Amino acid sequence: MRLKLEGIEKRFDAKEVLRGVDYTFEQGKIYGLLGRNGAGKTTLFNCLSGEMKMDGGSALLEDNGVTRPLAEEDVGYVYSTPILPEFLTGYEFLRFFIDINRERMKPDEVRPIDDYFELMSITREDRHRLIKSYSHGMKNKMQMLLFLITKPPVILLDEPLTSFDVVVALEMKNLLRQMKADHILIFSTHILQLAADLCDELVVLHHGKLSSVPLDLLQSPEMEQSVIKLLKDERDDENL
Amino acid sequence: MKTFNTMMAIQTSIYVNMILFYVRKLPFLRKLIKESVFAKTGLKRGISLLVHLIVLLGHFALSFAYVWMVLYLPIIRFGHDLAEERQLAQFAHEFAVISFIVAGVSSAAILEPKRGKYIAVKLMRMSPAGYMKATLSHKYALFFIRLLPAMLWVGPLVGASPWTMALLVLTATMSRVFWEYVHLKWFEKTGAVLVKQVGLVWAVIIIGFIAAYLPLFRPEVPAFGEVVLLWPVQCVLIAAGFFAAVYLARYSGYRTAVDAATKRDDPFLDMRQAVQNANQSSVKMNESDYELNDADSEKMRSGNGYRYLNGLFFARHRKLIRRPLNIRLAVIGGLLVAGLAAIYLFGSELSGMLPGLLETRLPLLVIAMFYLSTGEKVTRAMFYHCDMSLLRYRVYRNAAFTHFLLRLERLVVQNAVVAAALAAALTVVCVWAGGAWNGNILLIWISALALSVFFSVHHLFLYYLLQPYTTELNIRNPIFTVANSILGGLSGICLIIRVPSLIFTIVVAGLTILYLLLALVLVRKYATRTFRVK
Repeated sequence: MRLKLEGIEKRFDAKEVLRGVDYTFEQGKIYGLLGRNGAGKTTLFNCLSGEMKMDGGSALLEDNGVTRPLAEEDVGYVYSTPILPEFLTGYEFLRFFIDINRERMKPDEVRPIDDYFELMSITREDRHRLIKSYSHGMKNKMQMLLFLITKPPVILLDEPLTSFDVVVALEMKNLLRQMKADHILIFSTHILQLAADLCDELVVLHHGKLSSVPLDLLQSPEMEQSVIKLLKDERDDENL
Repeated sequence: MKTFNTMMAIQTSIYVNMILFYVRKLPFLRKLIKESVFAKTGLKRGISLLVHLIVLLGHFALSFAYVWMVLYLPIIRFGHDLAEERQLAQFAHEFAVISFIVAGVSSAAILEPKRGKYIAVKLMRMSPAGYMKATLSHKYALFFIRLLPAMLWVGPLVGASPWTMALLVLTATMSRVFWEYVHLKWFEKTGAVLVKQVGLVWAVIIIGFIAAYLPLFRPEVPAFGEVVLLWPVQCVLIAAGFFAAVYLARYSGYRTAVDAATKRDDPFLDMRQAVQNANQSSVKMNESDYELNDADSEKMRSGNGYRYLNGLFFARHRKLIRRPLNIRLAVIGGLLVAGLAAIYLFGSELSGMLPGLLETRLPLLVIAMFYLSTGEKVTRAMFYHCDMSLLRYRVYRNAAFTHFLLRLERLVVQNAVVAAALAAALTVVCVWAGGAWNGNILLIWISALALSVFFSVHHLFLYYLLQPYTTELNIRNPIFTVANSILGGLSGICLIIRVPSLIFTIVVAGLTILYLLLALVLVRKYATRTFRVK
């Protein structure tokens, strides 16, 4: 399975944010999307997830040799701050979520609700507490759980893992590694070390275009310097 | 003056930016107005001047409306047989009771809890004394200026010279300044903030209005307020006001007074947070409110999908959603008592008026239901506690029509309860006044219930189609405000129109059905796109 981006453009009034983004993402890999603040990472994610209309170009999903346009329901979007209805318990929310997605799931895929919680090692007691009282990490687990239920081919993660404690971060990393076999995972981040540690490939969004960072560079000690050089504007250089 | 200018500048800047932002959302205009407009300060200053002008005109319009409708109209309506000097006495009496006493108790600025005060003093660190002096001078200068033209205009109608009217306005202004002093002293003595004592304030308002109009209906009751026309009384009041003004200008304890009116004392709060808190407190929930009783839990077990979610939402937010309902039922109860009391006092006159009212004045129900139907509070709670998070999920947005229907069902039931209570109260009053059962009472019930459906549809329809709230619950979509104001205006027109009751009922029922159908079609077609977090 592959996600092909072809010449995606997006502008806000006169400001061109994406100027022909071309790239192909593959199943089985975790991609790190790097870019400076305001480079358009979130805009690109919003275009892919259908939150925003692109001004030009296309996103295609190639599965078993068949290529079709990427549909909204193909994409799962994990927000940097998890957004869940706080007046429900974890259990109630999951029950509701499965209910409303039931028709899109294959009958043999539907598992008892408690199974999902087991998968995320959320205790029996926590399942019946209000989401309002969940910690940040717990809320993130809940959000990831939703993708284990709906299984969208493409999962976009906006700045995940940045606010986790070490234990939860490790749990999430392991989970992402498990999930990558069946999904195309792309996550945006500012943190180079995290990207280097978790990703199989690093993609840089700069001047409205995507380019990949060579794999051997990813492991090398000069990686940080090279990426920073890549991201810096000529204007910044003049200022230095 | 500088303090005041800063406050106004911030306020208008926020308004102008908001207006530009939403005007750019309209089709056609977006192309005409570029984003760079936000940076054009010259243009924005022009618009802000316009905004100031409109606000000022609004103030004048309100004053004219007040003088005409609250003070003058009752006199020609109920006291047309009064001699001219009695008309002036009654006018001065009403003005004295309402503007001097009722407003003096209920709307003093000195300890009034206000968001602007919080922002200025707590967040922007303005000096409390500077802020309060600026606010008070502005308030009373404006009070005098805006009231004067309206009073001069109505003066000849009640046989008063311009000089009399001007003195009356000046006396009113100064006595209101004196009231500020009284509020402050009361607070110093007892630590209590008078304007926050809702029970007392409402008691004064109700008793005040009865006292203001009573001489019109009961000639034996003296229009004691006419004393404000006497020059010794005027001298005393103006002197008292002058004394208060000097005292307030020299007062050094504004910090305590402002603290009492802006409770949330946290230097780390930013402005957004402050605004957010003010709005969110209106939808605040306690942990214990979320507990379900056994009957609810049992009911929930059977639900599915959106019905399940909706059931949980209404069960867990029962307190929040019932509160406006209970208040309205209490108001209707109060009106019932007032109605019965009125019949007791003026039995024969009212019984004579009743058939006429029932024949042609059912349109009054529109304005009653406009104010009595709940919707804003409920949609706000829906947004803040449920939709703000769930709207992030596409599958939820796509099912907008499904949850619209489920919620409409709830809202209609809730408003129908209010409508039924209102209709029942009116029925009791009619029967008590000696009017036998007749077809018009049935029409009251049908119209009230239809109107409850109409307003339920209206609130939910606008919520789904315009989604006016932001995640901080602060900035409202002006299109939403305009749509609501138009409806408010139309309801206001119903105050004066007379239509045979049967025709009115048919029209209301017809419009309700039309609005319902329109809402269903439009929500089904567009809500998946329009119902989202902005």
